[in-house]
Amino acid sequence: MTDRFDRRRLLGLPLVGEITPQALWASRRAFAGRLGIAGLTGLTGITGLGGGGRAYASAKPLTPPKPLSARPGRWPNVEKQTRLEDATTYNNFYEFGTQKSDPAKFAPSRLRMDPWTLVVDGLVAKPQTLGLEDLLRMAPLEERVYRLRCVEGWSMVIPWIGYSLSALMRRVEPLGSAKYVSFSSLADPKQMPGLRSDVLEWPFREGLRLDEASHDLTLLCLGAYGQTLLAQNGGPVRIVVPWKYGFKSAKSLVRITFVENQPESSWNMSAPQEYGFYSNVNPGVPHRRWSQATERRIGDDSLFAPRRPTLMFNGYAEAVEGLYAGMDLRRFY
Amino acid sequence: MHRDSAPNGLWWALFLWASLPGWALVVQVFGGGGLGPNPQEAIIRGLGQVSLVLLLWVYAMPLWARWAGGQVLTARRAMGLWTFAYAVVHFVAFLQFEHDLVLAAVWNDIGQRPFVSVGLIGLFLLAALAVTSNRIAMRRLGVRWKRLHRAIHLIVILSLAHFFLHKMGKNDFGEVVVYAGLFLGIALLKALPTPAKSPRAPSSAGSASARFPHTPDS
Repeated sequence: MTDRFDRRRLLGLPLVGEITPQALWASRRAFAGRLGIAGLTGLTGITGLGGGGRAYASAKPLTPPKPLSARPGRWPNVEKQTRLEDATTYNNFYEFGTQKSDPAKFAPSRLRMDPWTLVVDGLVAKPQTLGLEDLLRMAPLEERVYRLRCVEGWSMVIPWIGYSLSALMRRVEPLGSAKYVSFSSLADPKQMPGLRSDVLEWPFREGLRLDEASHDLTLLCLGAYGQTLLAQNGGPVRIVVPWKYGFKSAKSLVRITFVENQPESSWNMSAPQEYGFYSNVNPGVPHRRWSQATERRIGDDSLFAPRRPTLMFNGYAEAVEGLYAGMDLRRFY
Repeated sequence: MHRDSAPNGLWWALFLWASLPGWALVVQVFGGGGLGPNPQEAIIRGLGQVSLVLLLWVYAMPLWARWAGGQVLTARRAMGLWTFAYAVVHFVAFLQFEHDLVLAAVWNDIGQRPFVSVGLIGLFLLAALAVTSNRIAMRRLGVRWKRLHRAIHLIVILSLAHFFLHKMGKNDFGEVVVYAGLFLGIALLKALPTPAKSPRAPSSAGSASARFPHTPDS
């Protein structure tokens, strides 16, 4: 079984299409086999050819994606976009397991994204309970092509669809006492097998300062790649904060609460020395256990493509550095 | 190749079996596909895992010989050298894919990331065993040879620590626990005394290690 696209990429040849239609790659993705097989199976057979990618690729999603039209948005980006296949099979979404192949394996067939409700409450004049249709109608949809930098040292370029979170904020009218925004993801053990593990504090929580949340770059995201957001990408609704490490962009949101004090965030609770509240992309501040100076761009043309230098604030410095004027970013990492 | 006894069918079978991950790697890199969206990471991690699995196999071989006959031990050197080979390629892949072979970056990393230094110490020890795995070294080292090759215990422990430190990023120790459990299980079974009389190893023929001086069951 060969994958022509992968072979061309590995040998450094140019790719014909950047984005393979989903149906096509699903049938091609015959094996997600790695060299080694995890756990006990590794001792009965050490070769890793083969493996079980097919089952999940062909499984029908519980909530099939729908086409979503959007106008080209602000913050244009002309970099080569990550292939849909890569962006939807290499994900960190621990509610479905800690392996990066787990979300694609488990999320589509288990996560029911319709109906969905998002509660917006806390220190606001007009708290709301919003359905998906309300969210899709709230503001004109834009396609925003953003770099995504994972704290683990890899990056992608994703054509998200949504609108600035500030549009929602105008609707609910935060009170003067609101200083922070807290985001909570769904935590339903019936749909999310990863919740059995105690790697993180559930439900997954993240937070932003009010000025970060209202920055035009901060996206309330409802789609990607021209369609509604897939389960493994955090559907049906998530936030995307492109100048921060990926984990700050909470997925499958069920609640947004405006609060006075700095909210708890799951990664910060799990390892405070390693994951600060701010977690801005910063090549000068290493993670406790690895450097953040460079990154592996997923889908770079050849196996021997060099790593790329990581940019301050993930390349959005001009737009956001004003938010942190006078702050010691080594201390507030 | 083993010099004490001509390669037998079992030797060849084990040799070829140990080479399979290498072929899998070649096929996946040049034949296309299967390495996923981050092939560099898949190669580094896959090679690390193969090294650890083979290392445990080599460590378990004396035990295996107890049940299946001492002939298994004729392949121990070959299997050990395969383990070393995978570990070396694992390290070279790390140098290439994580640091683009920039040695200053590697040096910095070794100091800053304990999991890198722990793995490297294990690799150096493994190299010492590989270099002294021939007959000349055995003769020259005498009794010290056996002592030196007991370092396999330390190498397994360092490898597990390396794996543990790597997995700390996600607080995800399931696989580490499985491998550590296997190591402890093998060590425990090896520590149990060999049954005094067994049909496969009659006392007159001596122990497996007496018949295969190359491969003492440490």
